Amino acid sequence: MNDRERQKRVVHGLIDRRTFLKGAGVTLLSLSQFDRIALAAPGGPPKRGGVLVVGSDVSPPGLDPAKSAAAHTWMVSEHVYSNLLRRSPANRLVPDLAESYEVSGSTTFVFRLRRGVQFHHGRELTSDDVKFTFERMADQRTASPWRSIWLIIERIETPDKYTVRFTTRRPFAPFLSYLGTPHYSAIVPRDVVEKSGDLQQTASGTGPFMLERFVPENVVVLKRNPRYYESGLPYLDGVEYRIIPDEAARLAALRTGTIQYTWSVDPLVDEQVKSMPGVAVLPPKGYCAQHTLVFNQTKPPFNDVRVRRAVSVGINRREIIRAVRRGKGAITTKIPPCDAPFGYSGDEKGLPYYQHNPQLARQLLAEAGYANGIDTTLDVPPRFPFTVRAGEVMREQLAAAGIRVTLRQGEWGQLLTAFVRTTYDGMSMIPTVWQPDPDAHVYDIYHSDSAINLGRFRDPFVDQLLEQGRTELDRNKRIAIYQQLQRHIADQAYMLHPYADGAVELLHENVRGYVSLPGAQPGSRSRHFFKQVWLDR
Amino acid sequence: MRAYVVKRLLLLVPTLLGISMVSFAIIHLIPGDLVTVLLGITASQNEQNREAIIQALHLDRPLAVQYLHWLGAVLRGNLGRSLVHGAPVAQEIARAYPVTVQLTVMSMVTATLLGIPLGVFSVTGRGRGLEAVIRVGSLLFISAPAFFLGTVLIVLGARYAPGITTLGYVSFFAAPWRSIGQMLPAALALGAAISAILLRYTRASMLEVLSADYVRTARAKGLAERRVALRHALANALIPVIAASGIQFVALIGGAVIVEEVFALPGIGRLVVNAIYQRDYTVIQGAILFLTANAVLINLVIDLLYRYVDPRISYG
Repeated sequence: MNDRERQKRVVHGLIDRRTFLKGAGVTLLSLSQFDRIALAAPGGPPKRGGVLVVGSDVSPPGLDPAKSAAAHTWMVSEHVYSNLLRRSPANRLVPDLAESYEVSGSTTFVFRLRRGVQFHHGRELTSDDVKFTFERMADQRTASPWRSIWLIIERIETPDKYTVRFTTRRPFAPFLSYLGTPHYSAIVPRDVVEKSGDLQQTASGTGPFMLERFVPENVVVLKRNPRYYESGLPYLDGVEYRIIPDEAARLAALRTGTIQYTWSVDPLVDEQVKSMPGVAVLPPKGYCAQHTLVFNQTKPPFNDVRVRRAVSVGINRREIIRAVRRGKGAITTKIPPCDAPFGYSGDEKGLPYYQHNPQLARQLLAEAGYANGIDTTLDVPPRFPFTVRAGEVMREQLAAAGIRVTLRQGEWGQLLTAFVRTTYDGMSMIPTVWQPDPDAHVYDIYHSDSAINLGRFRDPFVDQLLEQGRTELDRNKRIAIYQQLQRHIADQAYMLHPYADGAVELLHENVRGYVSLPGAQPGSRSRHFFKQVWLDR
Repeated sequence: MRAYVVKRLLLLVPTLLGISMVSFAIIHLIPGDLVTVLLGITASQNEQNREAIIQALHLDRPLAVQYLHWLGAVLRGNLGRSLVHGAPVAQEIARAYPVTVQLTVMSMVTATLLGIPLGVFSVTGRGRGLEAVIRVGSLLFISAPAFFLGTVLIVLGARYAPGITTLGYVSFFAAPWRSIGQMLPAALALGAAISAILLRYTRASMLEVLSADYVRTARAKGLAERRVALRHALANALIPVIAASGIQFVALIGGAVIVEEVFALPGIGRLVVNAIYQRDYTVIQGAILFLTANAVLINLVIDLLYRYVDPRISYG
């Protein structure tokens, strides 16, 4: 069997987009029926049993979804907890713990909960837990990284055990999207949190898997939740995350079958995996992880739009993608191609100063008073070797445009702090990650009054578009607003996004029914469906 | 003797105090801060969230106050909690330390079993060919970094012996044999380099001792060469080797981090390095304090061991 056939066989076990869309037309079906229809795909009916062993590169720092901004926490917590809404395999918001919901006016949202849903410690989920979840995150003492999001809620009422009514302070378009994002709004049990203080070392949710054991830096063991509310699911007896930081070691473990699933951001990993019998490569479902290059605009030369534009046309985005990602990447804005139509769909059409043009760069520099070019710096994190490589390619490209760049590598914590606070010298570049809503991608980093405005620029027109995008509830109007915003940012070159990429997933071919959503973090997969996975043994 | 031990133990107090102050100052001097790293590159990176975290973790107090607060807790036997995930620091150390001790002991045993006999053999062995092989081999092991050897072992193991698990950690107390077996490749990777060092020490020391007067006397008495080498020469030649082993042992406890990383062993080296990446100040402080005390105590034991193997040494 050659590689292509192998890949095909595995992909058959998954729900492809078309199969799903067919199913999605039949909106009267309940979700659990959905899942079963979709999975009656080739490969026979799902079999119960077995433990899926995942090779993970980083240990979760803790397991509390309300307290950790680390993707490696979500990777585990999204299987332990559930939310009011969730995303379907086609990336649409559908009810989860909520049976149904209504939006009245532009600030009131009423959710009716499923009845009889049990937490892992054996108590029924009620509206009080939902209220507690959001009040806890908004409470300053919780120190939740999601606090600022939920301050939008003015009040939460619980008219009865199974009804929750949220009232927001003002219209807030991303509200439902955040409710369907596992780490932002995982519903937690009041009694367990009050008893343990937090959920960093312990867990009790309503999700398909229950926490059995968490040994930091070593292993996280989840076992099947027999009382999960979608009957018959999950198929697996459990999921185990082995923490193996070294990629070579992780691939060796994949070869021996010690692990059955892992991921890689290395575009050459396909070559390495070729010689492994029974291992398939799943390419990323759309490019969701964009690089962000910021300019220190508090001083010359980058406070001059012409200099920033010179950098924008001085880099050759397509060449970077070819050289660094072997072509596996796409042109992007801050909102990545996988979120199109909010973002741009992977080409430079309509985006000003995206076409490579070294002559124009020199001309722009001369107009800005730098006829002899400029000398500047670009900070890159060695923790992400591909970012460093992209920086090297850009240095060569920019040299031809008269911009002489010194690359500086720094330790991650140091580099990130300087990036966020605009204390680097010239430019700084890091990989940034997918967000559940266009608003989350851009609001805090573009807004003039934000403490983390990247590069320290002020633009009232940008602020105006940001507020419009946040309060406009009509999807098509929002799309137009965010596209206009992206064009404006590209025109002013407030920051650059040299390319978007994504991690590939590697799995054994006896792993069936696996689905992931676009938007998984580079180097760590979250947003994946393990409850539908089964092992063909 | 007892006075000596007591004196050494008392010296531990100013040592730990000094180290804790220096490390506290240094880790807070590293550019980059805990709150930014905690919030990551998400929509969460804003002032409201920063404030909440700073308040919750008391990071708004002056550094000196933070230090005294920490010191006061430590004196009452409380190393505090991780700033990142809230677990008690003592529990984190207690989890990581046995892994590292096991790895260190297994590496040292491997190194000793390989290094000392080969060192003796490289002096007494006949046939210059074999001797050259040992010398070149030892040079190779000293020069090849342990992570390289480790990766080679893992990759070869995966290809040719896929049934053997070489990654991750199983507690020695839960399953002793499995635990030892699983850690063996890591111990080999680390032990190989150290065995080469021990080999060189043993060889140099043996060459010196074999030209000593008492060795000539022993030979003159007509003892077999084997007996001369092992009983008379080796016993004396081992003194500098023990010193070298001690240094390696202490170095391994905190310094096996790369091999721990490659073999996915949750040891104390990784605990410290990850804590530094995340600016988890309490974990770094606690672990440094612990490792310092550990190093001082191990050195004390080695000094006492010296006295045992070499009666000429006395500690007044």
